[in-house]
Amino acid sequence: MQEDHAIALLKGGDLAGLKELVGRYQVEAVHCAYLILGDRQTAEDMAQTAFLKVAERIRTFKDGRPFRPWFMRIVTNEALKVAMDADKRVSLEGKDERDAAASWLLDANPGPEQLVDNLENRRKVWQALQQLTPKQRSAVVMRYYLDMRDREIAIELSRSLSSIKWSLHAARKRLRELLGTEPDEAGSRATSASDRPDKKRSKS
Amino acid sequence: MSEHPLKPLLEHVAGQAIPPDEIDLWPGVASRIQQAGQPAKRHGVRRVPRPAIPVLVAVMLLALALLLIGPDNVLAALRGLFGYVPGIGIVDESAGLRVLAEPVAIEREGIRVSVEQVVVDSEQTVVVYEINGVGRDAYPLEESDPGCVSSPAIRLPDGALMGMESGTMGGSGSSFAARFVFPSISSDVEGFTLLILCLEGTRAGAAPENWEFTLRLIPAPEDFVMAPVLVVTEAPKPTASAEPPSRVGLYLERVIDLENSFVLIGTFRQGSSLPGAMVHGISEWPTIEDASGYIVPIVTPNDLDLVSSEVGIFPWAYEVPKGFTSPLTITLEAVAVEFPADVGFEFDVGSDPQPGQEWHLDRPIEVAGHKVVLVRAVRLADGYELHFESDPSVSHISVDSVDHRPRGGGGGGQQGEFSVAFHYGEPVPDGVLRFRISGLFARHAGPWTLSWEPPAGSHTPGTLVVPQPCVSLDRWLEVSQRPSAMPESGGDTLLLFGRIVDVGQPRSPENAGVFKVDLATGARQIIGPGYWPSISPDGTRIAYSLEDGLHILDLATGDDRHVPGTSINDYGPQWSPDGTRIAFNRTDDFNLYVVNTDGMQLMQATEGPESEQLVGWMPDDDTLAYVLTGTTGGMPLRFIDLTTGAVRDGFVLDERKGLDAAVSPDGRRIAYSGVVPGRAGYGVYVADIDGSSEQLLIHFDNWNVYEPAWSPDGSWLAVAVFDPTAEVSWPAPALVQIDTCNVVPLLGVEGEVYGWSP
Repeated sequence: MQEDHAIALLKGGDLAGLKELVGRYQVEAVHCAYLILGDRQTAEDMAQTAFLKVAERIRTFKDGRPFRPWFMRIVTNEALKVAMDADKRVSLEGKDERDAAASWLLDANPGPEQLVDNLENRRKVWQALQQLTPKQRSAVVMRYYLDMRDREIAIELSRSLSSIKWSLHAARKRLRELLGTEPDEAGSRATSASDRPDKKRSKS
Repeated sequence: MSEHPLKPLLEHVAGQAIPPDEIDLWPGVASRIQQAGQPAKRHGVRRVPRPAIPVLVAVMLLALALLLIGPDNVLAALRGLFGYVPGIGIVDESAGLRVLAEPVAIEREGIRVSVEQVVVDSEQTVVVYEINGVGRDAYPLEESDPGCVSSPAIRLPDGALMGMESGTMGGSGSSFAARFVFPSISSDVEGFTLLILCLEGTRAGAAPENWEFTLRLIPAPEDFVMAPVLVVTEAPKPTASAEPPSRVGLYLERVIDLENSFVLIGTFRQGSSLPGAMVHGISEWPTIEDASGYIVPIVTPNDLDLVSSEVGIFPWAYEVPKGFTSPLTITLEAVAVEFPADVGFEFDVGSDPQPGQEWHLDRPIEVAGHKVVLVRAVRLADGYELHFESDPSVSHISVDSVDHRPRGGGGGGQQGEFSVAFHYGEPVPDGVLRFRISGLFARHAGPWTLSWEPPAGSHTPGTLVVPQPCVSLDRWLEVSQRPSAMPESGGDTLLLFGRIVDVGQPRSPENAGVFKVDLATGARQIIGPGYWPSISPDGTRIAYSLEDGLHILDLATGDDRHVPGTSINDYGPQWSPDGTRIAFNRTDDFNLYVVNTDGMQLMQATEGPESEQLVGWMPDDDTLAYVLTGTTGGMPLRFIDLTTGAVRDGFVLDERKGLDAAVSPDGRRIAYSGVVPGRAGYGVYVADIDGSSEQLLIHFDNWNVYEPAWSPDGSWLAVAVFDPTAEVSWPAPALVQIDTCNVVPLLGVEGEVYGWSP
């Protein structure tokens, strides 16, 4: 079943459409939620909630738009809400530690090649993630896991664009040095012909 | 865009913590959907007392409701417990209603958001608002950017926030209408703030954000208008899953009695049929037929919250016009069913399968009583794709990879022919691959029917006007395969977009293009690749669109020139009657532009955020007719004087009409395609330029007839005829004489007529 078919089915009240979408996106949804929440059971529960939101809101989803970004925003928003509720129980001392961890993560050292291949560094990154504030954690997940743009993240997290840019700048700078390549700045892609809106409705 | 180096690291972290093959959310999601259908427990929601004194509500709202409901039914509504408020939905007035004291609108940077209606009952708060004036440039250009997806929220006076429970949003372009449902607001709260963080779908920062509306609630007055909701049958009580209702079929439970229509509300119930299987919903339109055999047109209301209360029970609502001959018979031919299965299969791809390699298997597999054939398997770059065929009732199957957990999956196809793909990443498995079929989705045929007779006096039976086409499908089938005399139309040349390669393949960019046909001889002349062609009034030149913009071709010399200043985003050129100018659509800003045929004096004809679609030139050589698209309530026809810029309103082509309107050469009539009430498929109408004297010229049941083009003398129309059920790629052109209903096929030609000239 194609994705647009699944969406059409769901819009018509057919749960086969939702089942198809769950099958397609459940892994990414659970993993994204886990990176923000740090707890498997909560992540799976939250991902289920996100799919229920999809069923609830699918009629507001405009045909022809990409489903994945729309859905993953629901996932991150739901995960952030849960994470922020949990975060209220964390002490002020803990906050200082989290800020330190954020600097460590965002200006990662050693380099990304080693980070990917080194189990110990993965453990460190995971620990660092868990010590970030929920919004910092969400920013890292949105930017580096979901490939969202800074402005999008700023809106989702209700933070200023400059704040988001500042938070992520260190990581980009470090990566540029390590990789010797240009960072994936937002909005650098050229508009292709496929970006053109439909000019006329096709009835055939 | 290259993948960020941190992404695989995060994937590693998450993937190791939660292996993908251990993730199976569907049972939990399905269970929670079922639970969500149980009666909701609401805490801290105070029931609203019945209003003690009449209070004035917005005059506009009252007038609208009276118009839709009718004065007779208003009184009836006041006697019931449930009522229907147009745009709001069904409300429970037993404990009193509160409504918006007055509409509230805010305009920022040319965008107007107006909260039109709010109704609060004991269970819900329904908010309806409209958004107008959002420019095209406020939306993302890149497909990967979904734009704003934030939902509105309610902030109560004590600062508490309430999120929406459900919502719908309609419209496109610059105009939207939204309806959102929130929890009920306590009766001691006299108002609230509606928060809209950003406008649906717009780019971040491209439109004003953080809208706040201070809304005041008042008790609904005694004369608050609602349509009555009639209880047809007592809705079956919720049943435990172990004791499903025994009878499968359609149930009609409530009827909303409006001034000119009924809204029928009911359910389809799986009952005790199909044990082990699960009905997934009503995926086909039912047929609603009256006693005279007329297929009653159906509209699905968008202000009713249809939520399944139990697994196997699916709500529906259809609005039908009054005046039919009673009784109505509703027939549902089939539903979509998932049958459980547990069938394994395997095949050997050898030790060194290569991308692109195919294995022709033709292996029959019995799945849930259906024969499914594994036709072939194809090695993808990172996995395998399995191709299946089956009887036409099967839409797809659920297949699991037994020994190797894929990183992703996919598939597609249609009834009776579908594929399933597994993407493994490295290493791609080889040798014997084992799979398991766990489910099969099929169209399960009924039919199921129910009959309903409206209460006496609720409408006048037999008064429904059924439009009859001047040219019907029977007539077309009679003439479409035999040569007919070509029309005397004042023109000898048709210009078409269609198949330019005689033999071959399905429709594709490679075999599509522009050509012209000599009506007298039937000879075709291929012009070449291009789109949206338009022929000059004297028949000597052609304007058309290409990837680099508009072109003008001199048919006599072959001289083909790009029109300076035009680009890929310009399309749909049309010649002025005097042949000196060309008007066209530009999708950069969705405005209309005009340029001299020598490429000079490019001018923007329309401006503003609305999306305009060119209809054509008026005979004065200086006025363009166009429609506004993306507006709610239809497409307004407008005329703009190119010299003065003055805009004149025409009539509104309602939402059932297509975008392919054409003005007659004398400017006195207009032709357009549109859905025919009570029928499937598009037909072509002809009306006076003010919208009066509409005539359904041609309609072929569930076929589509569209893209009208006038003959030079205005007595004939060329239209495109397309049978969606046939295995054809292109429509067939037909020529229709308006006054006599004579119809002439253009044999041996595939395509759409875009011009007709001497």
